[in-house]
Amino acid sequence: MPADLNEYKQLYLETASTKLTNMFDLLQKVELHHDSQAQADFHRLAHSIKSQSLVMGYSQLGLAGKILEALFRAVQNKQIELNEHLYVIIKKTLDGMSNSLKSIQMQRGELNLSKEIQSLEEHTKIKLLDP
Amino acid sequence: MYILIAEDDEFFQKFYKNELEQHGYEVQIASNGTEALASIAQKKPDLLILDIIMPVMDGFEVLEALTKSGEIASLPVLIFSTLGQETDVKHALELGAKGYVNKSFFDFDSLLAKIKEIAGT
Repeated sequence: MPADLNEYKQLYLETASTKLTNMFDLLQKVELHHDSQAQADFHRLAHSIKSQSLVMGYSQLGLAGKILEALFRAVQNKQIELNEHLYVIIKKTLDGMSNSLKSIQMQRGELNLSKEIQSLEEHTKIKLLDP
Repeated sequence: MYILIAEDDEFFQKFYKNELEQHGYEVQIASNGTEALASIAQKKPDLLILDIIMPVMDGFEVLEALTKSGEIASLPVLIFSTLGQETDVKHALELGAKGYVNKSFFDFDSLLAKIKEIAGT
């Protein structure tokens, strides 16, 4: 018997919103102090928000989480170096994700985040179809 | 049947605990690998559902510890994976996990079938 996902919508909104708040704080730590633990925590939260968004059927939020997860995995592996321009794009993506959660809360559905995702793809060379 | 879920995400903890309990399983949650190993030492589950990316101690480290202690032979482990973790899943299977379930594409019937197949119930 399939689960009724509506039962979990409020839990999703609360936990995803907390994660995004934490991700903003962690990003600041990464940007100001190059904190490697903050990088690892950001990666883990991006992974979490991707997973829970996809299970709830919010594909744009899931894809935004996926590219942030991939980006921070690459940063941890020293394959990508964050720069001023990337920080701006990441913050815009986090803003877009926050607004999307608010839109879902107001029963308006998730927002289209393709502009933010595309921008991250272009500036990191990460493609979402890559594993 | 007693299932231990090692998962750090509060959303998935509540989601899977609730759903599995509704199907008659006894479920306990561990929020990281260290908690999972402590819980296993206290009461061995019939099945461990293990997330890979967790704080403090991740899923790979749990599998390595279970291999070292020899417990992997009698404790079936199902990996919680998600989109983009194909390499991680392959590594976890090499470390002794019996199978995996993609937690992002929720299909409860498949999960139940997998639990029955792996735990032999």
